[in-house]
Amino acid sequence: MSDWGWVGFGYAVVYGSLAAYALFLWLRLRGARRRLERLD
Amino acid sequence: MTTDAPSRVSSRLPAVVAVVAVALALLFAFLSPRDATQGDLARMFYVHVPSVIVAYLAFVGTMVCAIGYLRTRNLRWDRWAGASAELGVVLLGLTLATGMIWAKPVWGVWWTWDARLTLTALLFFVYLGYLGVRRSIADPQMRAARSAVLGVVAVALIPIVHFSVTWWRTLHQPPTLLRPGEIQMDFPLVVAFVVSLGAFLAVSIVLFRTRLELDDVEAALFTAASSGRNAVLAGDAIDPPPVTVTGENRVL
Repeated sequence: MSDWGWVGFGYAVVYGSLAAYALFLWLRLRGARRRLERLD
Repeated sequence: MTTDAPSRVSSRLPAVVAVVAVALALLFAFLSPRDATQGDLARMFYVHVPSVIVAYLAFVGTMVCAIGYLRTRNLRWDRWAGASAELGVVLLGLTLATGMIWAKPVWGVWWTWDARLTLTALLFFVYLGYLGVRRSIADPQMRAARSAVLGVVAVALIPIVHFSVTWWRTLHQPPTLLRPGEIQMDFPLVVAFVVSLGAFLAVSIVLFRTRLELDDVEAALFTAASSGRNAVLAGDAIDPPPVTVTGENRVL
C-alpha cells in the first residue's frame, strides 16, 4: 500500500470511529428519551 | 407565539463547530508540507498526537471529578468522571490504532513490546478496567467510591507513559512537542497540528456533553421507572391466559 493509502486508512479509522461513537451515543439518548416520554 | 428555535440552535452549535473544525483539520493535514524524513506518513502525527493529548486530559478530568466525588459524595461528580473516562478510553484506543497503522509501513511491524507502546497499552487496559468496575457494581454510592479511588490512582500512569521514551531506550521517538527546549517542528506543521488538536477538543466536548446528557436521561428514566407510580415490570407486555374454573380443578 502507498503512503497515502496508509494515511487514508488511518484517518478513516480515526474519524470513522469517532462518528460511530457519536452515533451510538445519539441512538441511546434518543431511545432513552422516548422511553422516558412513554413513562411520563 | 414563541418557538424553541434559539435553544435548538444553541444546543446544536457545538456540534456544528466540531464538524467545521474537523473539516479544517482535514484540509490543513492534507495541505501541510511533506515531512523531510517520513514523507506523507508523517501526516498520521496530526491524528495520533492530538488523540493521546485529549485522552490524557480526559483521564486528568476523571481524576478531578473523582476527587470532587470523594470530597462531596455528590453523584454528579461520579457521572462526570465516568463520561470523561469513557471518552479517554475511546481516544486512547484510537491512539494505539493510529500508532500501529503508522508503525507497519515505517517499522515493518504492527506492534513491538517497546516501553512506550507497552505502557500505553497498560494505561488503556487500566481504564478499560475502570469502566468494567463501574458496570459491575449496582449500588451507585459504592460504585462511585470504588471507581473514584481507581480514577485517582490510575492517573499516575500518565507521566510514566509520557517520560518512558526518555527514561528508557525505546524504539518510539522522543517527544516532539511536550519537551523542554525548542519545538522540533517547522511552523507550517505546527499550524496543522494545532488545528487538528482544536478539532479533537471540539469533537471531544460534543461527545462528553452528549454522554452526560445520556446519563441524566437514564437517571431520570431509572427514577421514574422505580417510583412505583408508573413502574414498568418485566412481563407487563404479556397478557395472562384466561382462567376458566371448572368443577374438576376448583379448589375447595
